[in-house]
Amino acid sequence: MTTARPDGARPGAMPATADGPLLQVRGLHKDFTSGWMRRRQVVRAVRDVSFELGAGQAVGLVGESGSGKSTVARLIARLEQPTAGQILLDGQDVIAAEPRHASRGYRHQVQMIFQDPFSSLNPTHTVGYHLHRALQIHGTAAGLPAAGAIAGLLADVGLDAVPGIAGRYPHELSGGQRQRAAIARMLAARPRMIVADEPTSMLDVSVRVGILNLLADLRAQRGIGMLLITHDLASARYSTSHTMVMYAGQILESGPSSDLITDPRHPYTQLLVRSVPRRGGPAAGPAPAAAGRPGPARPGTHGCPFAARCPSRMAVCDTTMPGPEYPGPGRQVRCHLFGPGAAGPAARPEEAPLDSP
Amino acid sequence: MPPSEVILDVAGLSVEFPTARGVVRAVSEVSFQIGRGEVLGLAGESGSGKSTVAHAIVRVLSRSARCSGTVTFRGQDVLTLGGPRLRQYRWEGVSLVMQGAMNALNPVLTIEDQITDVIRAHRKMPRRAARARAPELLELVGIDPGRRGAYPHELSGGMRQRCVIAIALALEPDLVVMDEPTTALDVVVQRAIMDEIDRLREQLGFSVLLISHDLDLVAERASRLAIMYAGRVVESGPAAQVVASPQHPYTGALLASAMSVDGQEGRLSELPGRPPDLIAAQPGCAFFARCSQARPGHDQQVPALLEVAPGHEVACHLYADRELAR
Repeated sequence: MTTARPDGARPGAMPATADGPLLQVRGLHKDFTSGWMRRRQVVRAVRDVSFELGAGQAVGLVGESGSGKSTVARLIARLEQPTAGQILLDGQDVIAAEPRHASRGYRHQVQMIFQDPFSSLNPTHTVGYHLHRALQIHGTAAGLPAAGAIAGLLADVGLDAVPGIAGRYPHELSGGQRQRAAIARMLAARPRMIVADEPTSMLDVSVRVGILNLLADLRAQRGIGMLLITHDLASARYSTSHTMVMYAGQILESGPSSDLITDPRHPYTQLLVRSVPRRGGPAAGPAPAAAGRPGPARPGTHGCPFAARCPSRMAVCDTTMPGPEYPGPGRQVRCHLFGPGAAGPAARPEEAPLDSP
Repeated sequence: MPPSEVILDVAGLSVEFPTARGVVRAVSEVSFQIGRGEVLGLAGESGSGKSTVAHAIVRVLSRSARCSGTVTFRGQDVLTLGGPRLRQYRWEGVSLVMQGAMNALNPVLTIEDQITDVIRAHRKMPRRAARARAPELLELVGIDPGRRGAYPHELSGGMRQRCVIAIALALEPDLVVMDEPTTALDVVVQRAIMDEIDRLREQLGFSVLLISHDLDLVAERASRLAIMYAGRVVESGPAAQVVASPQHPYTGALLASAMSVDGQEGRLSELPGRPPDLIAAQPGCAFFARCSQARPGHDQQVPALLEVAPGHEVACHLYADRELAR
């Protein structure tokens, strides 16, 4: 067993420092380069992302495809190397400690859930085999008979009531059962932090809530922290306390989930909220911002990445990226409408006094 | 309220698939009508049979499927069509936008060629004239006609989906069947495409059968709604009425399990259990095992659709019991 953590704590043990945040991300950047010599192109997939996440807490990262949200997930799970920035787990800089590859110790503690459990489970192996292998690899079943440990994992994810589940193959399960099996496999590592990348977007609306409730119970019972990456604002609101909105690699707005979604300030967040289908008919209000999508940000581009689609675009938006402003408790927005000297958006004159944290 | 001019009339449609394990009855006695220019929403969980209904209407079921009942399109019996008349019915009468349609495009042909292909397969027309239609169609669905020479991989998911819709509209069909048209897309793109479809429908006057598991999406766009469960329509009626006061316990549970961006009080509950196995047909209500209001005897007979309000029908024993009690 690798002893990656300097304090020698076993992976899966309770945090040594219970007070500090479980995970801190500071100034995370990721550039992807393609081509060679004069055809070399740089795409700035993630720019200056910072946030904190406590044990048992869930934080949402919301954005459209291409916004860089999955790259953030992969950076935190250490499937990609960041170009710059720090990732601290229990206050330890994991990139400084393990610069090239994450140790198995880190991978025990930080586990991922993927969007499509049909492709993350091996179609030629049974559920029981998947769990058995995970227990073997993570060495967490020491002393327990394998069958008992497997049954325990199945009970943890609510699959114990399904007869003969351990002997079934992924194609014999429903979508929700497959995702539960993938979560059981992940639990075999006894993670302290889960990075869930669109865990419910392939599932029927009617079973999504069951998966999110399961993840909420695991957080509450075991103090697991979760970063929920999704394009679905309703699930971010339902299962996270804090939400960040990402566009073209940058966090444009963040805040307590229900405040942010009830009262979005950034024009992009407003567009996202207004686009959600509603039973009573489409949301009223001005036409959503111009069509388009987050383009790849390249070096040398300045200004707000959303400017080209923004209904409130001003001259300054093309030249400078707005700094963070703090329009309410726990809230942060990067938009020139809220900058110093700006009166705020015309629609919200009542919001003039801004609290700083 | 029956629609003014009925474009499509589905009556008692059942579809069975023989398999090694037995006969799967995927669709049982489904009936509905779609009027000119109307959007009918068909919602239900995976495996409820909603896509099979779509495939039966467009006649793209596999050869082994056995259909009974009738599907009448503008007075023409669809299930017995064959040869050139079937060919004409598909695409000129009814077109289909499939789930994940953006992967339905041929990767080695430009989008212009794919539009031209569809037109030339149905209309005797010189290539040049067919080609001239491509920019018009692309413009119609909000794609810069200058991109007509692009290959599918050069377009975003939303643009590919718009291309598929352009192809579906190329021969001016009276009905477009959309099976999960925006499921793989982001909310912003989804909203833009659904708005586009509404606009085109007003402009061109076609009808839409909109199929999705996302009840909120369907309810937002459809004037009438039919909810499917285990191959049957369990509730149908005006969309606003069905979502505001669902009468079938299944519709209620579906609505209650959907998270809302407007927030909800406390913890939602997942609909417990799974839809039944459609091979081992149960005698009674298919929702019996999962229903919170099931009573003894509800597993004896399949409930019939009863009208509970004008145009609002429900297949549930609770209403039959109430009728008897009167």
